Formats: sequence, structure tokens, C-alpha cells
Amino acid sequence: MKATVVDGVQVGTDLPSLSVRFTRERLVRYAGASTDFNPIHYSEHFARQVGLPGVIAHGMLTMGTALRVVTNWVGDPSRVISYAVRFTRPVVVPDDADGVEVQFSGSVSAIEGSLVTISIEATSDGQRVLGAARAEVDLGVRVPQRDHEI
Amino acid sequence: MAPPTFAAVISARGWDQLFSDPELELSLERTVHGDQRFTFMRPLHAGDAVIATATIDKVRVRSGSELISATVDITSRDGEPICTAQATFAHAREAAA
Repeated sequence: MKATVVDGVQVGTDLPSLSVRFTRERLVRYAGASTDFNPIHYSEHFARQVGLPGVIAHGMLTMGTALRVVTNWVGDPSRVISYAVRFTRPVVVPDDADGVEVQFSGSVSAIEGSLVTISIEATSDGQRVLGAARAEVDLGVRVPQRDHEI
Repeated sequence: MAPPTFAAVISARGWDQLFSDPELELSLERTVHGDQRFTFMRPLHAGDAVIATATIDKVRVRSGSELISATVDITSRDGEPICTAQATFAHAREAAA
């Protein structure tokens, strides 16, 4: 098992952020990989018919990509014990070569013993696309806490 | 070892039952994912044989749409809990004009 980051972890510690580009091609690949063939993720016609502004990324693509902030940091994905998000705003993916860029960041929001809660932010076009996104990781060893007010 | 959110691919087999049940009259293209929570008891490994059991927990009816809360429990064939996936889906009854 890989060593994990423990030293220096405090409430407020920022995790390395991540920027990922979603294109229509990526959505098609994700549809195949995930088995989610909802046409709102590839067809402008279907997306507009149900009142969406255009083709949108799979929520699970955004959710799964966002967790990379945590798994890159913790090293060992088996340390993730819970992960929850709200899909607050659809990520509209235009039909061009550039697609849309989504920025992901995370910071430590709580520590209890060996359990560390990471709050994740995901934004696209300056707007938050995930709400209340939190992952809980078990670092396996108690995280030493400094005595100070937070 | 599978990435944690790979559990969604297995959960989807449970969710598919919602959308393929004619009695429920749900349409996948009028459905959006509202929220998602995973609780991981252990990671999924290549070679795992698992069972996914879907339960509809709650349906809230709003004007013209339904909020469906559903849980998929993923276990090993022996019943060992592996992951619980709780989701809310927003389903629009009629297509937008």
C-alpha cells in the first residue's frame, strides 16, 4: 500500500487542483465506458427537447473526474470511504474542437482521527457545477493536529 | 482495483431497471441526475462477482416532474457489502414545449 500524506495535513490544506477539458468526443467515450447512453449527452435535438441549453456532460463524468483531485492526493483510491455530490448546474459541452474546460479543486474541511473530509469545488465558465461535493478518506493513521483555533 | 466511482457502472444496471419497467413510465432522456452519494465498504477488484440490488426509496411529485430517490446496494455473491450508491433523479413527465 502506498504511503499517504499525513504530515502537515490541517483543516484548510489545499489539494493540487486539476483542469480537464470535456469535448463531445469525450462524452461519447464516456457513454460507452459507463453504459449511460442517455441522448441528452450526445444529441442537441434531444437535449433541447427536454429543456436543456444543449448537450450536457454526464453528471457521473464530472463526479468521477472531480474525485481525481482526492485520489491523486491520497495516492491509494481504496482510502476513499464515501463521496457525495449534488449536480447543481449542467456542464454544457459545445460541438467544437475545444469543448469546455472544467476546473476542480479541493481542500481539507474536517479531520477526525484518521478520517479526513475533502470539500471539492468544480467550476465551468466561472459557475459552480457541483454542490456540497465531499469525499471522506481514511488515511489509516491518526492525523496529528496542532493546537490552534480554526 | 477499480476507481471508486466505477461503482456507478454497476449501479447503472440497477438504475436501468427503473427505466425499462413499463409500469413506471419513466423516460431516460427526460431524466437528469440530481445528486449522488457512494459509501464504500471495500474497493471493487478485477474478477469480483457482484450483485446490484436497486430499491426505490422515495418519489416526490412536483409540478410536472418527479424526484426519485433510489439506492443500489452492491454486494459480493456471498452478501458481503461492497458499496451503497444513493441517487436522486429528476424526471420530467412531459417533454418541454
